[in-house]
Amino acid sequence: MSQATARIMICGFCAREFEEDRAQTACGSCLLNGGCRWARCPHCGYENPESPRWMDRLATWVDRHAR
Amino acid sequence: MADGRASCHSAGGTGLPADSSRLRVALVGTPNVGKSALFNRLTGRYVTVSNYPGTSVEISRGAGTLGGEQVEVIDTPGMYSLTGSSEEQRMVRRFLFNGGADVLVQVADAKNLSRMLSLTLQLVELGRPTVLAVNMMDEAVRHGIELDVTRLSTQLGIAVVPIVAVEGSGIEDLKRAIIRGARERAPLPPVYGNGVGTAMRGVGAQLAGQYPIGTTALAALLIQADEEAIAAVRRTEADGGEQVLMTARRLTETFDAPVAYKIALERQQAADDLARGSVSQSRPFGADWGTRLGHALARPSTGIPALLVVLYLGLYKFVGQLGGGTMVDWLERVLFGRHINPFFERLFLGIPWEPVRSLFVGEYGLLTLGVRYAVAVILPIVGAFFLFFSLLEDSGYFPRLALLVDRTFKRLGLSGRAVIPIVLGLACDTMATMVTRTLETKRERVLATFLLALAIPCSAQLGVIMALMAQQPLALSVWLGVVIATFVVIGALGARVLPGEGPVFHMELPPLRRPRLSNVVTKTVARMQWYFLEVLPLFLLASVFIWLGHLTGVFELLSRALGPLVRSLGLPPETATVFLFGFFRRDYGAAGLFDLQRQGVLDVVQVTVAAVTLTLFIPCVAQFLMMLKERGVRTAVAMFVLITPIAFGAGFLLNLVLRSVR
Repeated sequence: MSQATARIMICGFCAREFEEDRAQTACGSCLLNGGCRWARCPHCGYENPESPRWMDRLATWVDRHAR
Repeated sequence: MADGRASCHSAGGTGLPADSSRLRVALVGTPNVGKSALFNRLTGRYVTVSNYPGTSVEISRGAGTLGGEQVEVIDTPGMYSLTGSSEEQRMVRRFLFNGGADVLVQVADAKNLSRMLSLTLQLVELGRPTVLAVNMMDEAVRHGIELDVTRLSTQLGIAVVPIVAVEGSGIEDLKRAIIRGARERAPLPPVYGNGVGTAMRGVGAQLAGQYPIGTTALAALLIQADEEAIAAVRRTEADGGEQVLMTARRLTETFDAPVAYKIALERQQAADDLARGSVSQSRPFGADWGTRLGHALARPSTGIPALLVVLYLGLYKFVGQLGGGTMVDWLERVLFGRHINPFFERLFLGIPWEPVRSLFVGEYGLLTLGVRYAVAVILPIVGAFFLFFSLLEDSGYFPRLALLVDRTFKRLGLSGRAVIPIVLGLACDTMATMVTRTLETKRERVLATFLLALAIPCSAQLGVIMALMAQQPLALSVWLGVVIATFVVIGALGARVLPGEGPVFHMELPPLRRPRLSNVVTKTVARMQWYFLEVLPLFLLASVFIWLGHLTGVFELLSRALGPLVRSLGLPPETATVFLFGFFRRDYGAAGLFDLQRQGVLDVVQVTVAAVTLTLFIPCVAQFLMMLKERGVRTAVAMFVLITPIAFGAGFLLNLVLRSVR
C-alpha cells in the first residue's frame, strides 16, 4: 500500500473535482504529454490553467509571514 | 471480470461474506455528495489509503463497528456512472464487478436526487445488497424539498436512509440498515421500456454461467458491446458466448439511437419517475437569487440579452477600449515610443552593417517590432481578455452558455459540449483544436475543427480587433455580424454535407457562484504567463523570417504576388504584409493591422474588410499543424483549400456592399 497526497482541482467548466495527477491521464495522447501547465479535466475535457509554481511559492511565503 | 474475489460471491445472494472475514461496505456516489464525511463517521480515525491494484487511483479503507459487528468500510472515488471512461470510473467498476464489496452504500445529494437515482438503478442492476444514504437532508429541507422515504424504498426495493453526514444525524439508522441489508436478499433489478428492457431480459435469459454481477448488469454491458463483458462471457459460457452475443446484436440492431444513449435515457426516465413519486417541493427550487439568475442565463429569452450585455461590457468596453485603447496607447507611445525603442536604436547605432542592424532595430527589427508587438500591443490586450475570461469561468457562466447555444449548435451538427473548444478557441485556437477530440462523434470533431479555423478569432486577434474598432461601433457590428453569419451559414452547410448522427448533449449544471478574487488572479496570471512564454519566441522568430524575407527579396515578391488579391478587396498594398504576418500567427497579423490603422493608412471600410478577411483567413501555422495531427492530412488540407476562398470571398463581397452603401 502506498500513501499519496494529490492536489484537488475544480474544473472551471463543469465544476467537478479531480486530482491534478488524474488530469495527466487525460493528456496521455497530447504531444506535450502532460509537460505543459494545463490540466485537462477528465470529466469534460476542459483545459484548466495550473497556477504557476512561483505563485504557489509566493502564496506559501505570504501565508508563513502573515502568521 | 470473473477473477479476484469474485468466486466468493454469486449475484443475487445475500451480502454476507462466504468466509468468516469482516463485512466489506463500499461507499459509492458522485463527487461532492459527502462520501468522505460519511466515511469518517463510519470509521473513526483508523484509515489507510491504498492504490487499487493495477491503477493509480486511491481508495480509502477503514475499520468500523456496525451493530456490534466489525466491518471494513471502503471509500471509492466519485463517479457518475458505471460505464464512464475515466480512470476513476473504470477502477470503481472493476472493484464492484470483482466482488470487492459485500454491501454497497450509495451516498446521494438530497437536493439533486433525480440526478443521483440513475446511478442507484445501475447499482441495483448489479444484484448486490444496496442501501441508499440520502445525504444533506438539512439543506434539502431548507430548499423546501420533502422526501417520502418509505415510498422510494419500496419502489427501489432497497433501504433508503436520510442522513446529514457532517452532523452525524441518521448515522445509527444507516448502520442498522447496512447490517440488515447484508442479511437480506439482493433487490430485484429495475424494468425498463422502449426495447431496452426486452433486450436486457432477452440477453440475460441466455446467460447460463456464474458471474460476480447480476445478469441485468451484465446484459446491459453486453448489448453495449463492452469489451470486458464480452471477454467474460467468452470465458464462461459453454459455446464461447456465441449465442448470447448474437442475441445481443439481434435485439439492438433495430434501435433508432446508439445503445449507450438509449440505456442512459431509459435509466434517467426511470430515475425521474422515481423522483416524481417520492420527492416533492413545497416552494420552487431556486428561490434564492443565484439559482434564479443561473436559470435565466441559460434560457434564450433572458440569456441572449444577458450574453450581449456581457460581450459589450467585457469585450468591447474592457478588452477593446481599456486594454486595447488606453493601455496599449500608453505602452506604445510612452514606454516604447519615448524610451525603449530609442534606447535600442542608440544601442545598435554603432553597428556599421545595415543588414545586421536591421535584424535588431528598425521597421522589422527583433527588438523594435517583435518585442514591441508582443509586449506593448498583444500583452495588455490578452491580459485584459484573460481577466475577463477568468472572471466568467470562475462564476460558472460557461456551462450556461453551453445550454444556451445547444439548440443553435445542433443545427450546425454540434452539441452544447462543443462550447468547450469554441470558448477555449477564443483564448487559443491551437489548444481548442486539440480539445475537439473530446467531442463524441467524428462528424462533430471535423465540424468543430473547421469552424474554429474559419470563424473563431483567438484572444489576441479578438482583442486587437476590439481595439481597432473601439471608436467605430458600427464597423464592429458589421465585423461581428459577418463573422457570426459565416459561422452559422458555413456550419449549417457543413452539417448537411457531412453524413452522420446528430450529437447528444447532457450535462449537470453546476451552481452559479461568486467569483473569488484569488482564483481569478491566479488563472489570469497563469494564462498570461503561458501566452507570453509561447508568443514571445514566436514573435521574435517571425521578425527574423520577415527580416530574412526582406534581405533576400522574397518578402517583397510574396507581397507583390498577394497585391492583386489585396487590391480586389479594396485594400492598400501594405495590407499584403499583414496577411503574410497573419499566416505566421493570427495575432501577429492582427497587430500589423493595428499598426497600419494607427498610421492612418486605412479608412473605416478598409479596416472592417481587412478585419473580416483576416479573421476568416487560414489559421496560424501552429493551428494548422494541430489540424494535421488531429484530423489527418487529407481533412486538414481540404479545410485549408475551403477556408481561403471563403475568407477572401467574404472580404470581396463585404467591400462591394460597404462601398455601395457608403
